[in-house]
Amino acid sequence: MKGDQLPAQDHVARYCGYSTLAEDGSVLPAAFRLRKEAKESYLSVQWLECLQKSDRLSEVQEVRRILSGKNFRLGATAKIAVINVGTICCHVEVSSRFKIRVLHEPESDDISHSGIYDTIQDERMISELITEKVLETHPAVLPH
Amino acid sequence: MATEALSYIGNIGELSGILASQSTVNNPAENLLDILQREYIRKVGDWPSAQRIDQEQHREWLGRLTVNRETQWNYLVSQSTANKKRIDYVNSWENVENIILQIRFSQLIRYGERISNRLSDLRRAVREEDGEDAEISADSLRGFISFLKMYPNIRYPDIALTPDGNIYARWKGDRGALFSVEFLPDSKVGYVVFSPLLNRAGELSRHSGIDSVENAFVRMNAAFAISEWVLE
Repeated sequence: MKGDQLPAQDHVARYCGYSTLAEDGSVLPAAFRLRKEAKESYLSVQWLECLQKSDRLSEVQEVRRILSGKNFRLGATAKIAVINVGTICCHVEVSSRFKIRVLHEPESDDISHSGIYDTIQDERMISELITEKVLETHPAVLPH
Repeated sequence: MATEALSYIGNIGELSGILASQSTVNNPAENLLDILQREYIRKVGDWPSAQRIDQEQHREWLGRLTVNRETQWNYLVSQSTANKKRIDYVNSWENVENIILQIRFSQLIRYGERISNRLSDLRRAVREEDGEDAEISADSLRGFISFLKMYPNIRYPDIALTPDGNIYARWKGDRGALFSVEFLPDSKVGYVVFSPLLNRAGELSRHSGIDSVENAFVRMNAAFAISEWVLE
């Protein structure tokens, strides 16, 4: 339901454009910064367990399908970063004392849509801490 | 070229200060432009002929206004506002390209060619992802180039762009050590430092804040010896 806290053991995926990646393809904290121009109040993510797929690759493939149906262009060199909900909330709190929340924000065309809230408290610090806990990355677009 | 000069002078507050210090002026119309011209030359180093022509035009307009500094000031500000979009556009396009070239050929910047290539890649990517109007912030890039010139023995950083188009640079050391900098407009930086605690293995002291381009490194180095992992 909208506004529900995601379970700590679950995972979310975040689209990371090329301009937010290091040259070796790893994710940099710029990928976890809010778009102030768009007045974003949370970082958009997809809740993977909500997709009810059998494995991680199927979940990521579904995320690709969802993202490509939205109104933005998937960069050929962009990545999808996977993070654990409980790990980032705990790491941010222990390391900085800031509490962040990951809440369900379902949309009509994307039931998995969720948001990482409260990073605005200290965006630079919190984005560094979240980046430290990226579990894996996948290409946003698969080569044909 | 009063409007151009205004954009270089940077902000109304600074110019107001300059004008306030000229209280003994007899001919305000002439003096206002002279002040602008002097400041323009001081900041940019030249007063090209095309701008002299434009200056004459402005002088004529100012002459027609009642010789009243407030009216003149309002006129100049309105000119500046009307041209702001154009100036921003010119700044972002011409300057970003030029600044990236400056980095490539500067003798004072270590890894100039590599950094320049990286910035060109980022510039291409941000346009591909966010549309043709998306651009690296010229002000942020100027801050970055100043910083690079200040530390000629700096290590090559990870470089990315924030959603605002600002340059993000990061240097990592051993045991979780980290110094990252976002180059903000107005010669400011937003920084994060993770520094290993001396007597506590595996623990880090973490700090973030805003400082000037000139002082951020010096202050953080004094507190956390970041030069160990930022400089070569």
